[in-house]
Amino acid sequence: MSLRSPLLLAALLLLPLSFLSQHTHAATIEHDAGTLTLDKTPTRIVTLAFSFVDALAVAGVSPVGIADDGDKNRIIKSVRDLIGDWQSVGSRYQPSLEAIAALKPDLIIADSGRHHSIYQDLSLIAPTLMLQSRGITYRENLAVMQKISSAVDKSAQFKMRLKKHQKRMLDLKNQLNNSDTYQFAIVTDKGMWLHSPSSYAGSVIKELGLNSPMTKNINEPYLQTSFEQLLKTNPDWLLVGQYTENTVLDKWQKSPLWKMLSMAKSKQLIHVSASVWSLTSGMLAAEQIAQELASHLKK
Amino acid sequence: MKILSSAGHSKTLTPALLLSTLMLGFIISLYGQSEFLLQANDLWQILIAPDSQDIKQQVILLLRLPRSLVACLIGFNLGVAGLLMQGLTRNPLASPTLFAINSGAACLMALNSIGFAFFSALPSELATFLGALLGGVLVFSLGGGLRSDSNALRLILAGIAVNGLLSSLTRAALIIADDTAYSILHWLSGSLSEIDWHSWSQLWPLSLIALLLAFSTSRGLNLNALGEQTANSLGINITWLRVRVCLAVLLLTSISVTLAGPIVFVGLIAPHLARALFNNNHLVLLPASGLLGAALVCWADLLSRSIIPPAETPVGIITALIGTPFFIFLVLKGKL
Repeated sequence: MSLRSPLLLAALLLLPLSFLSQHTHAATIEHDAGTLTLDKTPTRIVTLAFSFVDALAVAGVSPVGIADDGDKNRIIKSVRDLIGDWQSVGSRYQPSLEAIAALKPDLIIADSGRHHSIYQDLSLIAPTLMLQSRGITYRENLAVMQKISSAVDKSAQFKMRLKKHQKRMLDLKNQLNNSDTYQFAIVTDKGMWLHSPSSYAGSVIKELGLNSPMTKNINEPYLQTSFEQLLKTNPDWLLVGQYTENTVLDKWQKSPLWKMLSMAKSKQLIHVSASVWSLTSGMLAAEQIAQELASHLKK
Repeated sequence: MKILSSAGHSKTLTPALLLSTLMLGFIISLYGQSEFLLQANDLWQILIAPDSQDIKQQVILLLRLPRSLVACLIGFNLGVAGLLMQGLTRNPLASPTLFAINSGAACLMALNSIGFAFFSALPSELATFLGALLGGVLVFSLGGGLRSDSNALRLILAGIAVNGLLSSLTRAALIIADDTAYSILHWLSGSLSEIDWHSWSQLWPLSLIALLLAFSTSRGLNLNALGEQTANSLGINITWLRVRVCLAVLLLTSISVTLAGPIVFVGLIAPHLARALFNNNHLVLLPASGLLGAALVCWADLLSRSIIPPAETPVGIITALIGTPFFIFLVLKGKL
């Protein structure tokens, strides 16, 4: 409540200006399924992707429901610490419409990449924003975050936090200043996927002024990569997030060719958290990625 | 079929052409479409001036050579398996896919990947292999198995039912395992990008046994082509023939799908091409269909690397892209 009282005051002060409208807040947001007009500030929000939780945490709003795949630890700690408890509404791939409706939300934020087919159903439950969550860059994500903050009437907070964020990123950028190449990849027992500069992690690396080992301009965010292509890409630093316990790296490391990689020679293979680097995106995730990079570089 | 295998074909010209297509594909796939800009000259250098520090030579020897060898042998296996299936069921639509071997492998692999129950305790490759065997045995036993009165139609119906069951389980697993879904999906399209010498050492011994078994059935299949009753009256033990053929198909397909994922249509196209090019003697058809399969997978793998370089496109997508129009052609020509 303490957070809300200065807002209430601000709203009261602004009241004479909005004498034509009976509502304290009216937001119109352009989203991926059209235009959504909200005539009052939503308070019970359900989000169906992790990156939107980051956006709400930054705006200082706690969602009542999250499609967290039934595991609260899927939300990264820096985000979890900023929000209150929530109800799970199922998996991101197939959220439970019943669980969402039971929470009586007044705003649903869904992933336009994943939830396109249930948009109509979601709209029947509550006003629904369709925004992009996966396969977008750092800057595109900031634009999405800004839309969410204006939907929950927290544009001012967002702008303040954004300034702080930009300063943090700039500080880290200055610290990281070097000419090495950096590559983030996801590994499983089935293969390796390089995240190009058009992926989220790749674009954060780029934002920090670090070089990508990919010479060509690549629009695909995730590239499946054989050992041969890794040898050619040959990054100075390889940051890997594992999705499975055993990965193809175990096999590749045994090959005589492994020693020919720059990062193997200089021991610059770093294991990072897949949930921070790949599963989510947002200001808090970006700051964590940047800090992790800085901490490894200082060693 | 008789019309297609025109008498004009020289008995040596067709096999020679086939072998050279395969050899050419094999050699080009050793150096083609590489980010290292490998050239044929690099192959020559390996022979005349081997250098263990030269990255180009090492890439060819440690990555390209096993990949090409495995591509050829898997193609050979699938070509032979397809011919066996068609020979046994006397149905031109039969292919290893019918035996639910691919969907069985996919199902257990997916369950293993998402850590479902005890499946997660098994190594991924073993789980996949067991899944392939499970799918095959299930279809075989539901389809009449060793009973003397079982017929090909029953086998096909069993195949359709088991395939449906296993694929729906795989889909369920994919929904649960959202994060790893794309790596599973990639495998489901069939890919040779993770092949190394270890894969080759797993592949060849089992393939050799299965191929010997396959070739031992060629006389039986020749007689079976005349109809089961005729074959029976000519002294062929149909049950025993069926057991050997099914075992060979099961082994050939299981080991291939375990290493490379389901590479579809090869087992369907290669036998038809073989029959069009050669006569109907299984002693000739088996190696011919195998070589055609080998050439097909080898060239498809080469193509798969050149679609969106540097990313790998699963080879199974290429074989399906080649296979589908071919299949439609067969239907339109009334060859089925």
